[in-house]
Amino acid sequence: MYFDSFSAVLHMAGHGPYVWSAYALTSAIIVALIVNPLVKARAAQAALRAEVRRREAAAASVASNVIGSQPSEVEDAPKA
Amino acid sequence: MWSIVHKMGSPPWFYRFASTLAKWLLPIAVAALTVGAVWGLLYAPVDFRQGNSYRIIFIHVPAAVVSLAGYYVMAFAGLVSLVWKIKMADTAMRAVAPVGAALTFIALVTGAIWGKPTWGTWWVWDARITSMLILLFLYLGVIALFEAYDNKAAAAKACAVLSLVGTVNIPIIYKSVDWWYSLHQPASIKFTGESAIDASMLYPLLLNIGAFYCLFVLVVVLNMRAELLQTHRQSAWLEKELT
Repeated sequence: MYFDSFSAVLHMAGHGPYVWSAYALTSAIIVALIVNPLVKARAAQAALRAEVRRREAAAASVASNVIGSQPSEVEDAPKA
Repeated sequence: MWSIVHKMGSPPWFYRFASTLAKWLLPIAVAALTVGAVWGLLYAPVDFRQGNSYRIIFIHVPAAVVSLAGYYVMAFAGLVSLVWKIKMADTAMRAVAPVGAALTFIALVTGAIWGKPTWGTWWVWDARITSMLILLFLYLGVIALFEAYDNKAAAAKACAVLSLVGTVNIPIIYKSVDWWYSLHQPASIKFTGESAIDASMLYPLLLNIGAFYCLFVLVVVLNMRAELLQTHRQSAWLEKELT
């Protein structure tokens, strides 16, 4: 390593604030660049999966209603 | 050759390709960026004239280099979208714009921070710096222009034209330090002839440039993938992909 101590690393002979702020800002932007599309993609995937589940549940309930309602319909039918 | 082009233009194929590529590229990019930063900050020797402030070079130059290369990628995607009406090229063009803008912003701000202890000023209307500021406006312009249109096909066309016209700025940025020699120093790395930088500083710099290229490809691919998930949420192939 080039520096002798941790405080020398932070201070960098007076240039520490400049160097460290430049690196900190760059790191923050890089993290944001990577995280942003990952979060967006995850949200879109979750929404799509929820939509599929909702549709499947609706289809299942329609199917069970059709099967379950046949006898009652016969019972409710007006007597001739 | 053409089969690859056809595959690239197919959303289902590209979605799978992007997911796999991102899985590999994410750890590579993060590792390269970390090693590059630690090398540049702690292990590279100090510059005899600029002192430690020169360590900013390890992020400033890679960000600037990739922001310029990225503009060509965006303009090329715009050309493909304009001429062959390939939807995926339009997606690629818009995926590049925010990454390019962020990298140009990094180059400008780290340059300003570096300028203060070295030149004694944060900002100067030097040709290199001013043309980089125009590059930032071009990237932001593409983003804003797309949002300004309700008709997204017209928006894509306008963005493609803007990005193509903007390419005239790139050679000006490259050449600005030679044409109008003022405060900004000329390039230290040369493809032909000997570089004006010692190997102990050159190697970490090259590693960082490579790391920023990895980052660029990674974020563009992630942006395109997120965009596909948004625009194809009604598509059967995506449903099959997720379940």
